[in-house]
Amino acid sequence: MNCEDIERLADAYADGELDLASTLAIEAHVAGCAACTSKLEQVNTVTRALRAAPYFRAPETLAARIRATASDAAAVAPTPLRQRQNVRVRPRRWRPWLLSTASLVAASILLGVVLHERTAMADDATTEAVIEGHVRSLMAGHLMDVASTDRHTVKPWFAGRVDFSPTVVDLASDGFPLVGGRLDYIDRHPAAALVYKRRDHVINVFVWPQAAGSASHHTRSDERGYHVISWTRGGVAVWIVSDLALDELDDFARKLDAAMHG
Amino acid sequence: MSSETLLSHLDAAYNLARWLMGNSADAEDVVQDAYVRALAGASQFRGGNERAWLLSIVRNGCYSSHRRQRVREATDFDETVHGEDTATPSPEQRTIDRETSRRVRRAIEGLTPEFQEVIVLREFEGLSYKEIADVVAAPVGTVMSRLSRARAQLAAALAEEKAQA
Repeated sequence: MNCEDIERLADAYADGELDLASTLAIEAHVAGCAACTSKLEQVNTVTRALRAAPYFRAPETLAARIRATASDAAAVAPTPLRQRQNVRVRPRRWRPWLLSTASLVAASILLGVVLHERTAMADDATTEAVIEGHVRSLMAGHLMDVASTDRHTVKPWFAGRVDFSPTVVDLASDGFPLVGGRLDYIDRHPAAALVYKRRDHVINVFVWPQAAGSASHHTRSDERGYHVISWTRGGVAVWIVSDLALDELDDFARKLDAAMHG
Repeated sequence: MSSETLLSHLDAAYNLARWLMGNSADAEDVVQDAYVRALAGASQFRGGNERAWLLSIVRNGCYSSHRRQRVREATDFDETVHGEDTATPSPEQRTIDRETSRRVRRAIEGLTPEFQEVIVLREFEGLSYKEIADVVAAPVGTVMSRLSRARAQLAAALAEEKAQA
């Protein structure tokens, strides 16, 4: 344990986040080092000073607003029953017509929702897998197996690694430089991951062969702020994921789609 | 998970949003929206730390809100909203406690959101590094270094304010 280590670990030590061995090693070093003693003191001083900072408690009205929205949401389900009761209490000639038209509309919407949700469920699993792949690549620092801004280097690298040949395009002139490629697994099949950047945001593009699918772009966002846009064209499924602002990612998706199939 | 158990974290949710958004109106909107999302997605909650999960939704809501605002600002810069805050406390208010509180508050407000959030989560909510990592979707090592840099910036800012005072 030297002064550099302490500089790096001082906060974790002060926060009680270190294991026993590191804690003891730090204490042994600090006992004989004035510089590190003052570094630890600085951390504690800041923590003490922050006790004077205001803590913003939620206003009473906010809890009430949230409770109201929560009960609104819960009240949505039994609505059809209430509608029927209303009709019985105040019968009017046009009401039954309205009701049957309304229920027809409601039924067709419901049917549409159910059908949509079935395909959406499989897509949700892939969305989750794609986001996990993206997060994994960033966390483990395993962004690229082949680091190159040259598509003529990236494309041949995949030969022999995946049983298809991904189309690799460069969008540097559009402000989305290609930075490399990597082999990944999505939904238990190998996928070519192409890595693009926009400023300091990473965009992962997952590509794998897929016979059928919708060519129109589907967009999903998760609560962590990741956006996923996917489409299938020319026997290839393309899934792009990033924490980039949605409008910029949309722009990227359009340019990538055009360049891949243009 | 009921709305009542989630509401037990309301102060934590609001405090985080209040710091990240910088004003109470936006903070309230973000928190309310986060609760709607959390309640709608409660069935997808896979166990673990409920508070960290809720705070991550609040935190992402703050970031999305900032992103939307940036887009608006690009076309419409409003001096009254974004101009320098000129409000100064009156001489009577300048008791030592308030002065300290104001200095600390300004120091935290001077941090970037990445640093603000780790400070709020650690110092005000007492979250562990692992919990903070879950909330801000970053590795524990990144949390450690952000917290360290944030505290160093706070120490510098507080020393500077003291020197000016």
